[in-house]
Amino acid sequence: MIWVAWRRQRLQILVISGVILLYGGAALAERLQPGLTGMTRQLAGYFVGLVAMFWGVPLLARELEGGVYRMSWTQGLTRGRWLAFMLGVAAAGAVVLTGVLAAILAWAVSGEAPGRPRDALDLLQSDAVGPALFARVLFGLCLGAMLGALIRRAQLAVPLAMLGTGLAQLGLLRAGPALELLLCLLGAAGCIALTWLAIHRRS
Amino acid sequence: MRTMELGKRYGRRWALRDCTLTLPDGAFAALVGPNGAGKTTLLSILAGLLRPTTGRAETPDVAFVAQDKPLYRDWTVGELMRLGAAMNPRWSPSRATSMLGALSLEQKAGQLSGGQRTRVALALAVGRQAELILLDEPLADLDPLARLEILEVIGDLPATVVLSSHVLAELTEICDHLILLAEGTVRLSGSFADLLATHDAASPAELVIGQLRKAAS
Repeated sequence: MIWVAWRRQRLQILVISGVILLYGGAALAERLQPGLTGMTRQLAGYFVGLVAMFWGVPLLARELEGGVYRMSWTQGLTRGRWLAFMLGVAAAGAVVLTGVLAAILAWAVSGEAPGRPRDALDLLQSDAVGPALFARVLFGLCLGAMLGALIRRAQLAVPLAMLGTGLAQLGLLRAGPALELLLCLLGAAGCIALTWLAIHRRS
Repeated sequence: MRTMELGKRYGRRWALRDCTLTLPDGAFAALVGPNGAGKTTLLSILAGLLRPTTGRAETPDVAFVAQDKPLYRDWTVGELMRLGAAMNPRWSPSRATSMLGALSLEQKAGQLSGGQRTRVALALAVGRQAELILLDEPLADLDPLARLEILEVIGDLPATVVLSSHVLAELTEICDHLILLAEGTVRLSGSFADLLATHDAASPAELVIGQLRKAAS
């Protein structure tokens, strides 16, 4: 079943991997061109939104939108277990890919001159490269999945996911890494609970 | 398969009401009725996709093939068979493969014809060795030649089968039981032989039309 869940979201994982490759390219450019300092960190502020839109939303919206859930939920596996595998594989993949991103960011930040003045774009992300980054990405993933399950239309869920992650990140700006970690994990858990309800109520 | 006073309400409207049925093992039942009679609702409840408002259903391991034969369009036939094996504990590769016939495992589901898609959906159902197979309008989207071919394939399914249609003629060849629904209620159910005898009808068509007239008046 892990294979089924992986095969079903292979494309999304590929897209996000491509995004991370671009971050790697940005970090490299930053190293070569001192004038670009801080670019990777600024761009990283959009990563959570990208994960929510291109990975979280299609995870369940694709199943519901075309009605293919009538095939996948009538196999010999309860839909609760099906959901657990889909979210589990997505979360594991997101943690691995975020690990790569964290390494890229750490490398980029290590090349920055100390005391660099902050500009407006920095506001889109907090500085945490540690556990809070992973929690933020997991929250984005679960928020996207929840919106996809509740709205059942990717076209509508995608902009809402972007808005939701953006607002959440702005709201957490002054929270500090520890509180942000806690709030993001709680938010992710809440989203999973609502997703589970939406899947079970679907009838 | 048994259902007891099964009902499903959407808002104020009952799509299905007081549906009590029994079907012996190995029966081939034609589920017949006008559009909107509650056929898909009944099948969806039996398949476990819909929760009934009232009553309950007792079914063995059941496979469901929805009307549009939903499949992951970007997956190959081989990958869909791997899905069947991964998601069903009693998967039989040989049964699934024999249902696929001459179909290539490399083909993408999105490029299959209606008949081929039906074969893949049926392969998932027989591969898992389901004891009850529910087919919602399995012939509706097929051309005449594919209709004949699939009808023959369905006739050989090694399970209890319920198949719905609003065209009775194409089902009487392979079905030995009839369930007639009209406006959400069961008008007739039983074996064709018994029903024809008790209602003094010469043919299944006469039987069904007579009952539907009665229901309308």
